[in-house]
Amino acid sequence: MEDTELVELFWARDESALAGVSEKYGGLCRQLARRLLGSDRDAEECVSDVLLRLWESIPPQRPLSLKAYMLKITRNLTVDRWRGNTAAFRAGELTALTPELEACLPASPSAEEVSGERQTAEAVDRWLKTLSKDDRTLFLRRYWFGDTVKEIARSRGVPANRLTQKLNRLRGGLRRALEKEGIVL
Amino acid sequence: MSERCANLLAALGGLEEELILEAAEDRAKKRRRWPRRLVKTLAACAALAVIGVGVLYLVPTGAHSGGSNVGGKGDDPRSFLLYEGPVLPLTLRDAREDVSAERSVNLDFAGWDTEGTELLIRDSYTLKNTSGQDQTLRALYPFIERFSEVSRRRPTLTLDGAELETTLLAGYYAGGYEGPWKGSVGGDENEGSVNMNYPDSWEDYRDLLAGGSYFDAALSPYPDFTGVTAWVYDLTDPWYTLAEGQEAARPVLRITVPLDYARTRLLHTGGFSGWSWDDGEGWMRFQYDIPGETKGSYKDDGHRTVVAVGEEPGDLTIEGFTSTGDRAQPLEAGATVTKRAVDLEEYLRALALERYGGFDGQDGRPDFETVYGQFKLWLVTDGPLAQEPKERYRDGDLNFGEAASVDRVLWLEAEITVPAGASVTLTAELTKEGSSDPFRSRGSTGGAEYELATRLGSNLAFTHQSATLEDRGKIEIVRQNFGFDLKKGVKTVPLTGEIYFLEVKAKAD
Repeated sequence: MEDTELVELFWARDESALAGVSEKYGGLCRQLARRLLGSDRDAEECVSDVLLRLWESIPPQRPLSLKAYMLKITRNLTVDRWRGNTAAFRAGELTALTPELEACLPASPSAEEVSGERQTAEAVDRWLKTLSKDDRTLFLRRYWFGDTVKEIARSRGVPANRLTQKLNRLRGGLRRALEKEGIVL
Repeated sequence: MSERCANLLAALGGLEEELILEAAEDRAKKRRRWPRRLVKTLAACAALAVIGVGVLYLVPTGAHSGGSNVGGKGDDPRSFLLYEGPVLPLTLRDAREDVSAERSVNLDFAGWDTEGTELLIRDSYTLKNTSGQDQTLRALYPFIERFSEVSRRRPTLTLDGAELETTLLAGYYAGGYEGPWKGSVGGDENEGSVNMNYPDSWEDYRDLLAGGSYFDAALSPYPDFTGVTAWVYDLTDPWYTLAEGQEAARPVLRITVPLDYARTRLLHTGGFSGWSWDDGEGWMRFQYDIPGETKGSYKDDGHRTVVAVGEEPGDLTIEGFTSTGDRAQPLEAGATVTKRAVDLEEYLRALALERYGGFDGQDGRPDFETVYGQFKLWLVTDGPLAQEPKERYRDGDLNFGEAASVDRVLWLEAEITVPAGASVTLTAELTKEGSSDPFRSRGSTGGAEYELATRLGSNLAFTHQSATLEDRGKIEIVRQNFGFDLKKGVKTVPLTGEIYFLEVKAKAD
């Protein structure tokens, strides 16, 4: 079923929309949640929450890409769940990513007001658009989808070491870009 | 993890959809499972003691056998970057001289296409009882998988068409570890154990299973920490006070525990942004950000937990700093520290019950005790309680995710009876992804390779083995040593060698 048809079903409050999106994108969302959280149970619960969030948000939303919309909801709920977990139960790639992301943090010389998530996201958007497609997708595969460096390296046929160095440069680049934009985290 | 880092992580969720879709398409083209690389060696046999807790746990890692007799014709099987491991033969818990086996394997490409390389396998064994008495056997069917995927990949066993009830036996992590630069230019000599190094060829499984010690370890009881005292330090309500004119860009607490690493190990339950140790001086140190005001849905209550195992360490000290790094200045700061003695087994079990609650033994999933047992085994063999912890685990993090996500050999066990002088047929039905190598297949249509081991890890007395190919008109054979010939209609062949491989690609239209 086409995305537009599924969205229409949501607008018509037809519950078959849930089965439709679950069949079409459920596996993708589950795989993302499982990878980021490292837990089948958490991933299953997360996907259930995604469906609930879809039902609650369409209408009024009318997403152009249901796939991207669901992936974003999945990731956001996944991060929320991970942050809400006590530290002992954090696992998955999100746990592995955080030490790397520390290198992206802009210097905060004083206790300024922290930038909002949207403001930060827009700044990252602008920075990403200055990159080549290869670098952009590399950054997002690692820090948005949680793909491991080795996985990306092997899918691209390049040494992992090279990507590690490139990611290091990209993290530094993002940090400088965020500092330039006055982002405070 | 710092709160600032968590904010960035959350903010990334708001990126433009076009960028997300672009990356999603990139990964969809090449999406693979966790890659595996060559495992050179594992320690032949390691007697591993949990320091000071009176537990001695022996983990044999398998004798390394010599070269293999591939048999058949064509090239040898190869190593893979994305390796799924061979299909392994049935074995028995206890070898029986008066039971023989005839095996026929059906390789069905009905579900195979360019998007998926899932091969349907029907692995049948006719077990013949040549004695004058009924024989009750404990049959074990092996497969290679990780706990988190078992429910999806668990074979189905039937006996004369009736489904068997099975229990799951688990081997330990099938791979090894490597240094951070292994495989890079000039890095081959780099030693270390910071990264996982998965098996990447059938020889790795041959070495693992040869001699039977890996299987014996799967039958061994898991470590039991009952009666082992541990000291749990809970740090709560962290605070700091700025002196006049002082600023703290990133206030952190630094906790230092004096200890003799040979006698005391520290574990923690996460949430620390840094750690260090000095064996010579005798201390281990953790650092974490003092949480600021709560933003969004994230609630860091500032609670951190450190667990000491072994000799009771000295009093921990807490220091505050205005930030991390060289420019950090001392800061008046602290936290409430409570210390309690616990039974290590009870403490770990309580944590594991929350973490592994999904492993309930239902719908093909592994049961809790198996996964928790392997977690404890990891703790004392590779993890922070090992005599020589791998670098990957030296910080003491109780990494519950690792035990669930590493490849291992598993066995489905079922009790069957073969009547005197009669035969029964045990059949395993399973699916298997093809092994592949993006380096080799780059620029071509890509291929997938499947391997079949005839005797590896089995104590059955085979009288005959054969394989049948059902290509369904979907595939072309790239290389093989089975002896199939689709043009001549040779689709069933006898198996007399040790290992067989079949590389295929989608048939051209």
